[in-house]
Amino acid sequence: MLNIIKSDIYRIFRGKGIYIAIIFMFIMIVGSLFIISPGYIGTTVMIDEGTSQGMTPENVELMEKVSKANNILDIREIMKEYAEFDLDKQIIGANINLYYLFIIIVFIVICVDLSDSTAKNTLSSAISREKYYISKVCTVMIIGIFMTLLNNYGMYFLNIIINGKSFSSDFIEFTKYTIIQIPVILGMLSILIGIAFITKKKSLFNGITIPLLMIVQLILQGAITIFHLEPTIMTNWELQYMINNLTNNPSTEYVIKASLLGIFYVIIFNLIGYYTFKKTEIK
Amino acid sequence: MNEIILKTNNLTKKYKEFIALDNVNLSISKGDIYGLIGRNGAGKTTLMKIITTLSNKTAGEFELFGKKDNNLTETKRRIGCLIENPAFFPNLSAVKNLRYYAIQKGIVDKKQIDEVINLVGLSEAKNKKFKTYSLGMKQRLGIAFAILDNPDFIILDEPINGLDPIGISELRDLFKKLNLERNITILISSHILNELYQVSNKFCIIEKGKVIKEITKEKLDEECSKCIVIKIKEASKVAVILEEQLKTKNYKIIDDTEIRLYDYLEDSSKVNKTLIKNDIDIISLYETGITLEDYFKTIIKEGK
Repeated sequence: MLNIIKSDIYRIFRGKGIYIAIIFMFIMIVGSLFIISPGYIGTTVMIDEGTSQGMTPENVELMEKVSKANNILDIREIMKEYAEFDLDKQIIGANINLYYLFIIIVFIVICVDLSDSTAKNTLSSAISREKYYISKVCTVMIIGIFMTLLNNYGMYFLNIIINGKSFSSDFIEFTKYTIIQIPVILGMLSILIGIAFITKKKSLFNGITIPLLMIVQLILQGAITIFHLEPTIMTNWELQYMINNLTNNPSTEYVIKASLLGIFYVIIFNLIGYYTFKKTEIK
Repeated sequence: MNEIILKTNNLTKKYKEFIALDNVNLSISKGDIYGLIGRNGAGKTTLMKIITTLSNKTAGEFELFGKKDNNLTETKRRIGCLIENPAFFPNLSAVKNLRYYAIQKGIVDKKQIDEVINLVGLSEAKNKKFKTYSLGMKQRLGIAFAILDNPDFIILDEPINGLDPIGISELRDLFKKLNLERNITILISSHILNELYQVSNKFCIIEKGKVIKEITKEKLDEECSKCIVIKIKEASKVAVILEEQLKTKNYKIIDDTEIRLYDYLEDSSKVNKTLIKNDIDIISLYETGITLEDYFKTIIKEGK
């Protein structure tokens, strides 16, 4: 099993895909650090009373100023004058962006192997399907966590360099927020792993996973509106909100519930993925 | 008695209503180069996929190196295979692709990769990306992968597809070399009997998922080769005449009353005259034999 993980890591770091993803990740980080504001890919945070990010009059004033700014240099100056705050915590609150990086990881580790039929080379040797599946899960999770840590700590130290200590949080506190996000991130990775083993095709995997977050948000918003549900269903338990909430002084109860939900995703999506894969004819 | 490497017992595979394999029984002994012949869609690849556990059987069972098919994980370490088209990572070179699988198989010695690449004649293109390879080169890399871990048994699904005549001949020599020098047992499939005839010592003809005939090379030669069949009362006496007067040793005594002569095919009357001159009572003398292609066609027809 260890050998499969080692071989996959060998392959991943000999391809261009992972480096392009890392470069893209750092462009996002530097961009966010420069404008002193977290950026989201493709999705938006719906501000709601249920979150701890309620709009204060100062926030509204700031938003207006930013929207009137002509270029990113102006935005940076506006943000600098506004107030000192823990920018690094806010940026890891936007770690849902990593979802798109995780798509690339799962694509390289699992989809390419299944779609290009290279999996048959592995499975026809002394490796059972069970071992193969567990190895792939471990590889994705190891690289996923590595990329998360690279993203978080790379950003933490770049923030100190670019914006100085006044926009930086305490290292221990920052580490605490990084750790409490991990179960949700593992859950997110497991959703992608499950989809990869079910779809087996590169194009189908991309077609489902890329719009998935937005589709889930739309469905939740629609359900809340149509069935008059509590908006907290979305603002507390949808992935993007969960990741954000976990960096905003969450209660212990919320951290436990979010972690359990993450673990639930890990178990359920891996069970579905494994049993689908076990019955699959390898082409 | 030779060790049995693979033995199948009523192996069956169904895809809903379609029967891909129908109670297949075959046996491969150590040292065999076993040719699996069948038309496209006959069930060759399905059989190989089941043996390599890429596909699940519907019924029946098989044994690999004496181990039952429900306990093969460790036994599979002893096999190497190339099933269907060779599949590798397109953006990696041959060396990097093999290095990937070498890590997976726990092969530490990097020389092993160069060795198999040299064996299949890919050393000049070893650093080129797999996606730039021709079909023939891909086949060679597939074979290199199959023999990477020094297996005892290799399973090759139509490995000479896409190769030029020189390439085919080189691979034929390679298979014979692997079989002789490394004592590797080989299961090799093709839809062309002529191709397999030159490497295999045992053949299995499969059609619509059923084994129609399992035959050794010697028996196949007997059934196919062109010769003059001489039916007489005393074969030993005729043998002496053939050697002394017709100066040929290219004959085979089938039994006391039958000799098969593989020379004088264009001049059977000379044989006839010589035997009569020596007072041999000839019961019958006639030419027989068919081409491998015709033989294959006949067998398939009979199977239907």
